[in-house]
Amino acid sequence: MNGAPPTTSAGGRAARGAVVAGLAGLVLVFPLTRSGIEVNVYTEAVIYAIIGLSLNVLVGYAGQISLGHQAFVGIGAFTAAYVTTVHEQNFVAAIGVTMLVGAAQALLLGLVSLRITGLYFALVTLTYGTMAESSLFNITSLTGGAAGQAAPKPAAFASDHRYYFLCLAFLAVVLYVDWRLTATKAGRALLAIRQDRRVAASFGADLKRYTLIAFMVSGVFASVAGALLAYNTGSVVAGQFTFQLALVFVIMTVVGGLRSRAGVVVGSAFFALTGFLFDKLHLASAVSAIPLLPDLPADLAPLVLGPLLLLFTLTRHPGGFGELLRPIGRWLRAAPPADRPAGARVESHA
Amino acid sequence: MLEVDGCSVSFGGVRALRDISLIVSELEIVGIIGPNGAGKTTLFDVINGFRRPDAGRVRFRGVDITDLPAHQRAAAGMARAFQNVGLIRGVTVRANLLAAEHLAAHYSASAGILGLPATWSDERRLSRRAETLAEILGLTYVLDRTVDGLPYGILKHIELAAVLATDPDLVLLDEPTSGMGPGETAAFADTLLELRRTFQVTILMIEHNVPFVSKVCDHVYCLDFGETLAAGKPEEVRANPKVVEAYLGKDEASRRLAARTSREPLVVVDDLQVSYGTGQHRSPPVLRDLSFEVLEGERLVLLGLNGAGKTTTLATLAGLLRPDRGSILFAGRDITDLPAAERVALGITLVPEGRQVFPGLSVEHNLRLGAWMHRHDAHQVAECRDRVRRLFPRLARRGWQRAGTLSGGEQQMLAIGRALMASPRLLLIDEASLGLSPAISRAVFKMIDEINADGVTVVLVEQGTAALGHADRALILERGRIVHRGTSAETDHASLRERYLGTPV
Repeated sequence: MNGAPPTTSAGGRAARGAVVAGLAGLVLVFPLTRSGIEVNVYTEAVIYAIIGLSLNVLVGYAGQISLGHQAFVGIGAFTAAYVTTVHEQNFVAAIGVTMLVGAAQALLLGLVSLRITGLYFALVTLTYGTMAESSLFNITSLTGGAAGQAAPKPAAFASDHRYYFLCLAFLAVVLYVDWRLTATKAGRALLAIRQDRRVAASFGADLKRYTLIAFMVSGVFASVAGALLAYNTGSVVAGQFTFQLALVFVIMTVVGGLRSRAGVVVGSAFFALTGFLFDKLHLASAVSAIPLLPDLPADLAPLVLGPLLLLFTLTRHPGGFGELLRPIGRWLRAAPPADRPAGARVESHA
Repeated sequence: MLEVDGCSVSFGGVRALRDISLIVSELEIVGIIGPNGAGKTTLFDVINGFRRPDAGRVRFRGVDITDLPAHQRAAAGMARAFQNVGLIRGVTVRANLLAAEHLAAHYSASAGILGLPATWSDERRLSRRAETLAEILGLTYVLDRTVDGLPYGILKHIELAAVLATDPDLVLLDEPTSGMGPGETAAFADTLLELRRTFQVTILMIEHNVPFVSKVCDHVYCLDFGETLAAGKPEEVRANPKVVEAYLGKDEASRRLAARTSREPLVVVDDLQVSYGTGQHRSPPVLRDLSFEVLEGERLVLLGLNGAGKTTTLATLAGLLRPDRGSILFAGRDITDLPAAERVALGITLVPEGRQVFPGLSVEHNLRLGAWMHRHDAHQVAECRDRVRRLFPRLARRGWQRAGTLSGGEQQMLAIGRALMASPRLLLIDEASLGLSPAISRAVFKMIDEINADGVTVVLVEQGTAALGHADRALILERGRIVHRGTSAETDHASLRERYLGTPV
């Protein structure tokens, strides 16, 4: 950032180094020490982070809404499974086709968004998601119907641990693309369009073009995440992609903090892990000890926790996890604090 | 370079523009003057592509661009500044300039998203270019500040930098000097002439400040009721009797109410210190050691340049800012820690800078929202509304029109009317004349006089000295301190004007 770093003492550098090493250890080394079944859960957290970033492009950057993101992810999952199993193509081809299909379906929805806005468009996305869930994903010839479609992991990454690192690599690429998106003219055009479309037009930014670009980038991210999700579980069934899932996607992105890459990644991973943590920490028994509270299945944990965190985010921390992480990030980069607390006043709408 | 040929626009049944023609030649500076509601901004919308004319054509460098969308006109070399500052809120000045450089990037959007190597070097070039532009306009020191909260005069300069960042051949400026003090305006005239030379730009501007227009413009058009009233050299247009009548207003006998004596203080401000932000983000104090009284029934005006602390003073009186130190008494009660909403209930109402009406709501609904305090008392609401309608017959006629479609003067009247709906005892008005033509500002000030005659105490904040004729006493602020206090007559003195308000004598 600007100015000289305030703390460049040896102690400060050592502390920062320790934190970076700790984080790297947690992400890169810790999973190696765990069982394959447990690593599958971490892989899912990585994939959720990609989904969160996909939604962030749409909601955070383009100021659009998608309540049907399970369709974006599901279409990616089924496309990858279909290309891999039915056409017996390799992983690279499958991912390539998935990205194309993901971009194309997002483009269609994007074209709708140019004509219908606000609440009505939100309803369109909701319908799109449920339509995909109840009809599109049940076309037996494409999706294998109720039995679903098998999606074996690519041979080189057949082990759960190796596959985890493959997904991590994809997340890294997605983060890079997302970063360059915001650091180049497309991201700035979206910023201008979101804030004031007249000003954006006077800068020469074409609203239609950049809105469609945002939809396509979001579609590619989501479909890649869907493909990775399919390989992780080994098969895809239509029942996976429910409206509840779409809600969790939206909540995890907002709670993570729109327009904050770190926040969205942490928020998404957190929601992917809630069910697992719920089990691990024996929270279910703790909750059932509270009288008058019904037994809570672990997989519903995100849907109960989500709204509570969402309420907290909306009322107390509009910047979500991202806002809370920002001072840490600044400290890690040894940059001076911003001249005002971010998040609260800065772009609290959208 | 630009040719508007017989353009007409109507909104519903109202003709906003009627057969307007206009020509701007290469490297000219052309001014458009005219009262509020004359159709000037609508004409800009037609020129830069926000509105399609019902009839007529717009040609740019001989090419018919009537059907081209706004962003393509920008690409063709047409840039526009806005009446209420066209910047992206919530981000830094640097981010604004980079966003404005959209057309200057040499790479495609997708290459940028994929982060290809060539885009990195081009980004560095764009970044340097933005810094150079900021340097030229003297904005380097605010580059990494968010635009929110910067003084209006600086925002106008940032907007100009953003406009130049689009690499324009023709620049449309909508009231560039509104909100500037007389000294700043004089300096801005030189800036414009300088920019024309260094950037080789042609300028078309809407402006109310006639001396400024006379100084910089090669050619002037005067609009009224959507028609061209006069066109020609600035001095010709200025001397045109029709223009004098419509625009400058009849010479009004300076009506000054007899000084009323022996009044009790309604507000006592003692040793106030105010700064922005909290904790380690706290700014240095914006107001220091501020002590003054507002007498019951008087009209007090706070004068000073941009950044003097006038708006901050009003915001602190209204309860939007909490002082670090000092106290505020209202009608004998200590209200220093009272939240804004409760102050409204006591009778303190603020008319914010820039009008801030709810643009999507009707005039009627805007007024009703102003009566939020009386929401359980329909009778009281009706009474307030009748009073506002009597004061502002123009608003009464436009009851169900959306507030966003009103002209600037009407919006200002609505903002004041809305404040009156709370039946205030103390009315705080921030820059009532901002962006209004002299005739319309005079009308607004006259309304304020009438409101005051009804017994409402008024505190005005103004840049110019025009408000002095409508105030009993004046305070001049400079860098957060009171540097002069006196009656209006004492304040309206050449040496003071020159010293504190930057008016050249």
